[in-house]
Amino acid sequence: MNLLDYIKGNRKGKGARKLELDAMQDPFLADAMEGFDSVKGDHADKISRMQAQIAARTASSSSADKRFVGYRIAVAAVVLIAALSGYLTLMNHKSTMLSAQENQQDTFYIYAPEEYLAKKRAELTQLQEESKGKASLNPIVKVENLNEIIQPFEPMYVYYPESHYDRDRYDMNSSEQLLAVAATPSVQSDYILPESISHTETARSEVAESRNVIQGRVTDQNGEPLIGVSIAIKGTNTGTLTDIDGNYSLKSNIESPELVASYIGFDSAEVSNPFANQDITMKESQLALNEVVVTGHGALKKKELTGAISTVEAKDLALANTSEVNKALEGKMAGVQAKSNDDAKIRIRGAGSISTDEKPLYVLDGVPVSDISHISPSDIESMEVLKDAASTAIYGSRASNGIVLITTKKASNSKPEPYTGWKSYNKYLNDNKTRTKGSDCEKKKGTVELEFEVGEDGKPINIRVAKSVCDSLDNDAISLLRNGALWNGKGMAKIKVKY
Amino acid sequence: MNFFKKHKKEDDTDEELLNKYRNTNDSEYFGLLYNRYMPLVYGVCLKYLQNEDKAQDAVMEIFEMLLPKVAGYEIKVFKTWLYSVVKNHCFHILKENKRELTVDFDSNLMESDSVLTLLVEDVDTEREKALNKCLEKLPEPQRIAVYKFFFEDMSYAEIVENTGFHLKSVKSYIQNGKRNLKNCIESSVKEE
Repeated sequence: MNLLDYIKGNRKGKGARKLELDAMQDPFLADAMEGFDSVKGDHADKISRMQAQIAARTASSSSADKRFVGYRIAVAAVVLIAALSGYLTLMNHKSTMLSAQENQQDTFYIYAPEEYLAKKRAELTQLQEESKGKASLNPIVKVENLNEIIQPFEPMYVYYPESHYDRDRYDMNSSEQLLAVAATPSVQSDYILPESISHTETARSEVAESRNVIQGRVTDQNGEPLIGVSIAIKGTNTGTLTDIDGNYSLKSNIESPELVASYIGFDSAEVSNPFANQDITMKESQLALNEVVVTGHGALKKKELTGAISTVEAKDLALANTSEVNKALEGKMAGVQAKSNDDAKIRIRGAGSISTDEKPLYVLDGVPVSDISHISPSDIESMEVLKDAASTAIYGSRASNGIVLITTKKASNSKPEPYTGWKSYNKYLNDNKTRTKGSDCEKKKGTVELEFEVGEDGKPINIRVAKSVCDSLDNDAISLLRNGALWNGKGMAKIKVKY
Repeated sequence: MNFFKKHKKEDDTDEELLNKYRNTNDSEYFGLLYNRYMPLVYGVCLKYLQNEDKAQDAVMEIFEMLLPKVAGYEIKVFKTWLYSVVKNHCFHILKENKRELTVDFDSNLMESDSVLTLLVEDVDTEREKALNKCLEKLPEPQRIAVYKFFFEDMSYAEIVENTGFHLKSVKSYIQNGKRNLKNCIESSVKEE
């Protein structure tokens, strides 16, 4: 069972189960499988593409330095062939370049012949087919993609018949011949300098001997080994990672090296003058743990957002005492330009584009709207301007010019109440209630209940008698309400007057 | 002949390939090795970055990053080494972008559990007796899932088909079932 098949959704049978069983013991595999499940898409296809890319990338880079040699040999070959054909023409009067190639066993062809490439292509395809059945993670390049890999190298370099490979010296094999036809031939041995190679090798081993080996074990405070901790020698590029048991070993050629161990979720530990056996204990980092924050990105509230947010409260807007929101915003928020032209113009983060709309996205009580010029500043409870890029993540590209979140007063669910507060208002009702003298109702007792709405100016409007006692008493109560304190908030309210 | 040789190269162990790369500096060896683990690398990147394009970028970045450097590292087990490199790279990307990481706590806690080899190793009779007893004590969905996976050799998908459980719940049933079994067996073996 191949992981790629599993990703494609082929999840039944022994093979799939084996893979799942493996995943239990292999966090790498388990993580990967989780990743494939968590993001939708044609992952197998993407992987094949990337594998082909890397195959092409490594093949081309490995032949990059040979290319130079290849050109030289190509030139040499042309000269040789020209000389040979010239010689043959002179001597035999019948020779052509073609016959030179046919007759000479040890000449070489410029460009690989098409039959050869076709043969190799078939071989590789067969290999692919065969390795499919194997239960391993062998890279699979789709058969259709083979041509992509082969193609770029076809017409490029020099092709040497197989008799020219010096197998003892160069471990050649078919893939190298196929992918980079410009493989190293025996003719080329002049250009490789074996002396220089062996020279560097001896130099390397000398350095290795002079280094001190530092090794040890990295654990957390509980003595548990930490896997994959990066250990570096301060001030150098030398470093390593701890293995599965938390062990590490490092070579250092510095007099008194300083070790720095770092690991996610832990404070980095520094050890100066480490011993040959240097165990390191790392402490969990309080700070780093907070780096991973679980958030819900769906919510719209300011408190759940991070980043640059400016807020203007209702009282600041009311102070401006204008009829337009953008005028009220002038100079209230950092980084927000509000121009008091004829139409409402608000620019956040400057003008983002010259060709498209520069308007921010207005979100009115959670609903995105295009225009806010019809809203009176006095209706606004609060305005929040989101200036950071994270806001784009919530509202999409519409929000690339920033977002203005507006909460209107209506949307806040406070019930209307008197400016003076209920306590003193009730006192007012009690102290000032009067009876119109001479009416039938003079001696009646009971409670009048009035329902009304709070108008724009805070005065009660649309007053309705919800519970009547007597006509004149009702009227008395209404005038009491009219003459009383103003009201805060919006919507329906109710008062009771006891007679 | 060539055909045979090609096969041999593919069969090289990770460490052999790595050594060949070190010795010859021919990047094809490392390309071969990296391609071998590419599906895993891509999967892990997907898990942490939650985005196909970013994950693909990361896969190629890691390759380009390792290619010049890998020869300088002392690597014992390439696979585990690569795993931590990939994870660190992903964390680094997340940290750089200062994006919040959405953690699927449920599956994370399940998968990172250390109970690994419960039924794989040979079990002596005493333990087997305890195992049977403990199996019966398990809550029903856990018992069914564990039984089907370990004794009937079914894959997750087959269990889903067979029982109608949700795929995620099957995974957690098995994980939790294993943990419960382990605790139960350990305590009952101690008692006796």
